[in-house]
Amino acid sequence: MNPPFSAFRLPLRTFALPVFLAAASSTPGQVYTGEDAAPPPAAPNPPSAQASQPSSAGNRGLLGFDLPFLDPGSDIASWDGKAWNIANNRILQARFEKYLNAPEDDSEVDRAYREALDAILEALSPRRQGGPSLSRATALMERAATFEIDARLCDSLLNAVYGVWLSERNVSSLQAANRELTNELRQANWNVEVASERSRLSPPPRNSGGGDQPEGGRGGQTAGDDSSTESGGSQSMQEATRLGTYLAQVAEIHALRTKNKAEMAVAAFQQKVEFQSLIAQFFLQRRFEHVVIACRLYRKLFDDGDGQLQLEKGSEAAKMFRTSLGVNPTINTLDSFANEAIRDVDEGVQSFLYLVERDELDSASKRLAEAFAVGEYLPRVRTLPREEKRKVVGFVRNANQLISALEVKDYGLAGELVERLRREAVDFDYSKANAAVQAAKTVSDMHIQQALLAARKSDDAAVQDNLRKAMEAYPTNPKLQEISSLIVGANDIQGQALSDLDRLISEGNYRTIYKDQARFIAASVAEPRRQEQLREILGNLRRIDVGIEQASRLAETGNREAAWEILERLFDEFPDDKELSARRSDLTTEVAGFVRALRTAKSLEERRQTGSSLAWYLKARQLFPGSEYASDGIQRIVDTVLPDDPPLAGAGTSGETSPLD
Amino acid sequence: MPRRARSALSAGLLLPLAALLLLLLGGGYFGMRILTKDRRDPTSFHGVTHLDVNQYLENGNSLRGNTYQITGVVESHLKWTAAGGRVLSVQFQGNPLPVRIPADIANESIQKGEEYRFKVQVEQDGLLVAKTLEKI
Repeated sequence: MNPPFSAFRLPLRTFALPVFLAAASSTPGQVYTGEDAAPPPAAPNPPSAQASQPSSAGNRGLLGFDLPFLDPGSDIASWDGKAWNIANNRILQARFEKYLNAPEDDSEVDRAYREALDAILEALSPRRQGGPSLSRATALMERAATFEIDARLCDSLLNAVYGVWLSERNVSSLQAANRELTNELRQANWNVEVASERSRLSPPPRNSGGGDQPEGGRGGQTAGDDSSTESGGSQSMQEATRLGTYLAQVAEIHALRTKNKAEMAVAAFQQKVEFQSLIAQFFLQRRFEHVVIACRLYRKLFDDGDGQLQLEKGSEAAKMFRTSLGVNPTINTLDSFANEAIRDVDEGVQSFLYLVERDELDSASKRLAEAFAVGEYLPRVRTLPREEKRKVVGFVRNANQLISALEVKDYGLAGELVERLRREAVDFDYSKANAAVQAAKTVSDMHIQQALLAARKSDDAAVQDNLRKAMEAYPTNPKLQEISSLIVGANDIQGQALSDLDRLISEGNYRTIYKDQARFIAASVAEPRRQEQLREILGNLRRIDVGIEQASRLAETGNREAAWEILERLFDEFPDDKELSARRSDLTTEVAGFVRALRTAKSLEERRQTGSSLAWYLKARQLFPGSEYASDGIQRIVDTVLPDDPPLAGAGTSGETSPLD
Repeated sequence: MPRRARSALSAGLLLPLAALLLLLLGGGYFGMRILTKDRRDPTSFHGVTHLDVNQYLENGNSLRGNTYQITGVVESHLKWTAAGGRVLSVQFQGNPLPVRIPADIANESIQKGEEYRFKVQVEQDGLLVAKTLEKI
C-alpha cells in the first residue's frame, strides 16, 4: 500500500540532508556564537508530531545536539526528542489538500513579486555587467518586502544587511580610534624615552647616612651641600614620577588598541554568524529563492572569502556534514542545495502534469505532493492551475481516508476505499492495502470462530480472550456484533434458565430439571452453588432411574419381591419422586403378601412385640428368602433377644449359627 | 329243717371275689398314681394346649405367661450363644415361628429339618421360650 501522501517520502529523502541541516542551523544556537554568546532562542517546534517518543535529549541543548534526523527505512523523522512519520502526517495531508483546492497564484501582484525576486537575483548575479549591485538589490528587496506573499522575509534580509553595515561602520570607527591611539602611543613612547634620558643625566643622590664615607670627607661638606643634595633628590623623584606616568599611558594605549581590535574581530564574526543563521532559517522555511538571494548578499558583504558555516563543534549538524560531505559546509553548499530544490520542484510539477494527462493519478498525486512538500512557496508550485490540481483531489482524499481507515482498523471501509481507488487510478498499487485488509479480516474471523467454539465448551476465559483478539485485529468487524448479540441472547437464556432452576428446586420438581438438564447445566456454568445443587439432583435422579430400570428387569424375570425391595429402598430415600412412587405402588400390589409381612413385622417391632415381629419377618423371608429387609429385621430382633456373650479369653464364641448346624 | 345252706357263701365263690376286689383296688390305686404323677411333671405335655398361631402372629404380647405346645420342623437356627442358648425358626402350621431354646435345655442336639415337639411359654416380649422339647 502506498498512501498518496507517502509522496513526501522521496523529496524529504532527497532533501533530508539540506533540509535538516537548515533546520539544525536555523537558529543562532546551532551556529557557533562564541563562549559569551547569549542563550539561543527557542526554536519553533516541528509542524506536527504524530508519534512522540521519550526525549533522550535530557538537558542537551535544543540545537546543539538534537539535529532533525530522517530514517529513510521507516520514514520516521526525529527532532528534539519527538518522532513522526512523514508519510502519514495529518497536518501535511491537510496542507496538501488545502493546496489542491486553492486557486493558483497568477494575479498581477504575484507576478510583480516574482519579477521583483528575479530582479534581485539579477542584481546580485555575478554575471551582471559591472558586477553585483548591492544598492540595487537592496532597493528591490525593499519593494519585494511589501508583497504579502513575501512574509517580509526580504525585510529581514535587509535588516541583516543593515546590521552588517552598522557593524562595518563600527569597525571603521574602531579602526580610526586605533590609528589615533597609535599616534598617542608614539607620543607616549617619546615621552618615556625623554624622561629616561633626563633621569640618566641628573647626578645621583648622595648617601647622607652612608657608613662607607670617610669622616674627613664628610667633615668638608657644608650646609650648602646639604641643600644641593636635597634639591637633587627632589628632581630625581620628579623625573621618576614623570617616567612612571608615561609608562602607564603607553600601557593604557596598548590595552585600548587591543580591545578595539578584539571588538572589530568579534563584530565581524557576529555579523557573519547572524547572516548565516538567517540563510539557514530561509532554507528551513523552504524559501529557496531567498536562500539564493541571501547567499549572494553574503558573498557581497563578506568578501573575505570565508563562507564556512560556523557549526558548533561536535554537534549533530557538524557530524552530519563531515560524514556526508567530508568537509565543513559553506554558504555555497546551501546555495547549491537551494538551487537543486528549485530545479527538483520544477521537474516534479512537470511530471505531475504529464501523469495527470495519462490518468495515472496515484503517481501524479505523489509527484505533486513531493513538489509541494519541498517547494510550497516556489512559483512553479504556486502557479499550478487549480483545474489541474483538482484532478487528483478526489484520489488524494480517498487515499488519505484509506490511511485513516487502516489506522483505526476499519477494514470494511478500507476495503471499499481500495476498490474505489482502483477504479479512479489505473496505477494505484492496491496490493499492500488489500493484503492488510484481508489478513486482518481473516485473523479476526478466526478468533471469532474460536470464541464460538469456546462458548460451546463453556470456556469463558477462552471466549473472552478470543473476542479480545478478534476486536484488536478488526475492531469494526460486523461479525463481532453478531457474536455479541448471541452472547447477550445467551445471557438472557442463561438468566431464564437459572430462574427456572431455582423455581423447580423450590417446588421439588426434580424430574423437570432432569429432563431439561442440558439447559440447566449450561446455564449454571458460572454458578458454583447452583452447580452443586444440580449435581446432587441429577445424581439422585440417575440413581432412581437406574433403580427403576433394575426393578423392572427383576420384575420381568418374576423376582418381584427383589424388585419391590429395590424400589422400597429408593422410596425411603426419595419419597417425593412420583415416578418411583408409582412403580413402587404397582409392585406393592403384585407382592402384597410379602409386603404385608414386612410391614406387619416392622409395625410389631416398633410396638415391641418382639416374638410376633420376628415371626412376621420369618414369614417374609419364607416368601422371599433373599429379602434384605427380612434378614435385617431378623438379625436386629435376634440380637436383641439373644445378646452376644461377653468376650472372655479362651471362651467359646457365639454366632448366628449353632455348632449343631 | 334247718336253713343252713342259704346264709353262708361258699368258700369257692368268696375267694375269686376277693381277688377281683383286690385287683380293682390295686388298679385304681396305680391309675391314680399315674394320673397324679403326669400332672406334676413339668416336662409333660399332658394338658398343654396347642398355640393359636394366628393369635400369636396378631398380638403375641396378649399371650404372655401362657404355655403352649407346638410341634414342628426346625427350619433354621437364627442364633446361638453359649450363655443364652439358641433361637430357632420352627415351621408350625405353615408359619415359621421363632422359639428360643435356653441354654439349660439346649444341650440336646437339634438339627435343622428334624421335627420336635416344644412346650413353650410366651415371655414378656411375646417371644416363645421352650420349656421342654422332645424329638418326634
